[in-house]
Amino acid sequence: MLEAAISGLVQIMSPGAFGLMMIGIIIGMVVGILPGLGGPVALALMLPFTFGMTPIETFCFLLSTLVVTTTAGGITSILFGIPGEATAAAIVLDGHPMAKAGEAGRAIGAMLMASLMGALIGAVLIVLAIPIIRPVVLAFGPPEFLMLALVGLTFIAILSDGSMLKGLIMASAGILISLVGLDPQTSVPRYTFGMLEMWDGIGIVPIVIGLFGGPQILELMLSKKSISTRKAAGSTSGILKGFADAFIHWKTVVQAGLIGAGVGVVPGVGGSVAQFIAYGHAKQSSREPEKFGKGSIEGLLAASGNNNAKDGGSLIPMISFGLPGSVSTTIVLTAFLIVGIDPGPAMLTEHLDVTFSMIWVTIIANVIVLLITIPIIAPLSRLTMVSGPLLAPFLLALVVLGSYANSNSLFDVWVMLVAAAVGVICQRFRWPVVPLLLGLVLGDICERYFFLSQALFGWDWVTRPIVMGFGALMALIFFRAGLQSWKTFKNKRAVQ
Amino acid sequence: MFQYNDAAGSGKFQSSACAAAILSAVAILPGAVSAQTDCSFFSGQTVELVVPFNPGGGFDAYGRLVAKYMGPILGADSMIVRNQPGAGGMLATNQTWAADPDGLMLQVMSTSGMLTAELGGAAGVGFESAEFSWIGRVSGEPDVVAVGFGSDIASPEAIQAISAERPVRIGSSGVGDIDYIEAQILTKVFDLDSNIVVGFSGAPEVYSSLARGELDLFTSSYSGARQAAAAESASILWLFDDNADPDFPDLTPIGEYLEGDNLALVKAHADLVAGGRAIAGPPGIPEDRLTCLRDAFDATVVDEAFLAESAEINRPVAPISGADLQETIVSLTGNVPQDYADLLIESYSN
Repeated sequence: MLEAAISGLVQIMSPGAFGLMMIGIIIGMVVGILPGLGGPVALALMLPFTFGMTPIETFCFLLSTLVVTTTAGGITSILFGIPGEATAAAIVLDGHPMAKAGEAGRAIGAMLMASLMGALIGAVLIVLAIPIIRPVVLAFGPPEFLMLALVGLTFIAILSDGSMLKGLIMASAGILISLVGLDPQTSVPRYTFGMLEMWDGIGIVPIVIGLFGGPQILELMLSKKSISTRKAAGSTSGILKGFADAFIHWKTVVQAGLIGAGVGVVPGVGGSVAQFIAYGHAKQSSREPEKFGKGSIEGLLAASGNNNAKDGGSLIPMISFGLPGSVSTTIVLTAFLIVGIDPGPAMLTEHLDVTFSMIWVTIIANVIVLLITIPIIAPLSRLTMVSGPLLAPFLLALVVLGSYANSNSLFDVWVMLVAAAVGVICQRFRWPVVPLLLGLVLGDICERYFFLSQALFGWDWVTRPIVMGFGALMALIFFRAGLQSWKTFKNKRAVQ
Repeated sequence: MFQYNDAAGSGKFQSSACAAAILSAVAILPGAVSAQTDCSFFSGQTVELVVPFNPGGGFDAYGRLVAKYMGPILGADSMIVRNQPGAGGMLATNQTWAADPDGLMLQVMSTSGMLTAELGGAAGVGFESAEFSWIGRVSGEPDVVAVGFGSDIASPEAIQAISAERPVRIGSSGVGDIDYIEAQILTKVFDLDSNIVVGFSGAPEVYSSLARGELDLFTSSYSGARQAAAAESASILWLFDDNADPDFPDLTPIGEYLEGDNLALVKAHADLVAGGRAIAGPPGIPEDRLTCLRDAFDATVVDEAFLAESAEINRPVAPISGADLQETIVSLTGNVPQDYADLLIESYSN
């Protein structure tokens, strides 16, 4: 194995492969920073350029873009409060309040370092999993996926910003929206009002952009002020402080990384959920949960640390079974076809060096992105000092373009605008938007895997060991949330 | 039925390939695709090729490949690809149906999907396949029946033995999908008690379920099954066809176990599946422009650089000329066996 690991590293450091990785990184940064313009579209457009490349060159090119897109998405989340990628929404929650407080440099530094640490965790997990990779993937079927999604839903209790009732209502609204589209069991259109555009459901990308972007852009336009007024926004000391934060709170980052990698292994659940599970877990474990959502460094680190670990985790089912976990990995899977390699046991024997080269890319691309971002953090952070009326039209154009590019459809622009209006109302009346997102993503997964579990196993699926394990985990989460609420209640009474 | 590639040796296909080769020899220069027809209309124009699915998949790959080579041969200023996903391709297909038939908007068609949806009376269908202006088929491959890797199932009797004990579990992406229709056909022709398990996100997820031993059977395209077999998730059992295919000499067609109406049912479906991925425009493209487009397509699919690139990206082409394709689709939609039509209507009758 060591030989393959070294061979993989040597091959990606060859001038051709390394040069392609650099190009991939630059594309990834641009795509990641622009809201809505996502990794899948970029990867698909890059595919034709891989013709004639060796397998390792191809994966250097594509995977570097994939991981850097995820990382760079966080920059937009921090600076403007608009997620650059759907998977970088949780970064907004604490990263943007930090930027508003003049700590954009520190926030970006912390986000980059946590992303790198997350990538390392994901890589270590794949290496450890190599000997047992296939039995592990085979142990997870529809009942286990269902339970994982339900565990995700329990985090609504933690992510409701203090009002459980509002959180549950928002989550229910999300689940209702997830019902739009073809019924997965009967293929009958539900709540589509005769519009074919709605048959595939409501897209997560325009919803995320609208919910988060709407209130930010409106605030910029109405306040006529810049995002931040502090001049030290991107100072070098701030960046270094951000790096240090990631090491000081290493436990938070490691736990977020493990959650990201674990969720990444499960096809279909993906990063838009992993980030909130990691964030919710960090909030629940924190000694200062009240700071979450107001610029908590722990919240930012948890949201950043899971993203790249998730990408590493999602390579596991793809390499071992050709089972893509997300739209992006589906496109990487297409690249396997182009280079003439089949995912499967051969990736763990004959092509183990290719597997290792993929793992190395996830790490090295993040190191490079960290290095090349350092000099641009200061000028990027100064964007937070541009006056609102100047910045707002530019951001508005970006979010409209981003939501249109999602599926080349004006319908998605309308969805984004409606989501933006909802986002503004939610912010005005202090209703949490995260439960809505969780409900939207997980509602669909829960429905699909519940019916699949029933069709395959009847009610016997309930007694499967991993299912019962997840059930116990859910009980524990509820218990801890209840305990925390009770403590808060007791403290309030004591103060009164 | 359609043939899958140029090695198949069909008289019908060979004649069209020969014609295309001759055309390409005389008319490979930009803007001069036909010796007889004036194609100057396309000069300086932008031709749009709609791919009805997201970027990154097979339809997208073939669309981009054709656009890259066909645009210059046609003499167009550019031939651009636009992805318009939605409703399993129906959104784009309905839009193309209603588009201005000026020859400047074409679409990559999922021929089998649109034919089954139309014949089955699926909700949302706003087109008639036979009326489109067919430009030519790019690729086509047969579907196959797969079992779990290392499964004991090797004969119809083995499946029927399972059926006698419990419902045979057959995987499917969803009601009305090609794999669902094939699961219904298997149920009917082998007289099975089956449980068609729907709701998987796509073929890779069904194959992982097959690998876990949760399912007994699944049908998919040959390339999907081949990749699953390489990943040791599945084994390919039979060709979903009435007759043997010279391109897949090791695979037994299920037709070998069938006769009479059951054989006709499999044949009708295999003929439809062979429609593969094709290019078409809205109904009513003026005859001279249609000739230019068809000639350009025929010249594209024999172009050496085009073929080299298709081989390099492992996307084999199996062309059929537009005129032949049009004729076959008219015949398929006009003469569908009643059994098959009933089965399709049942598949979409939710």
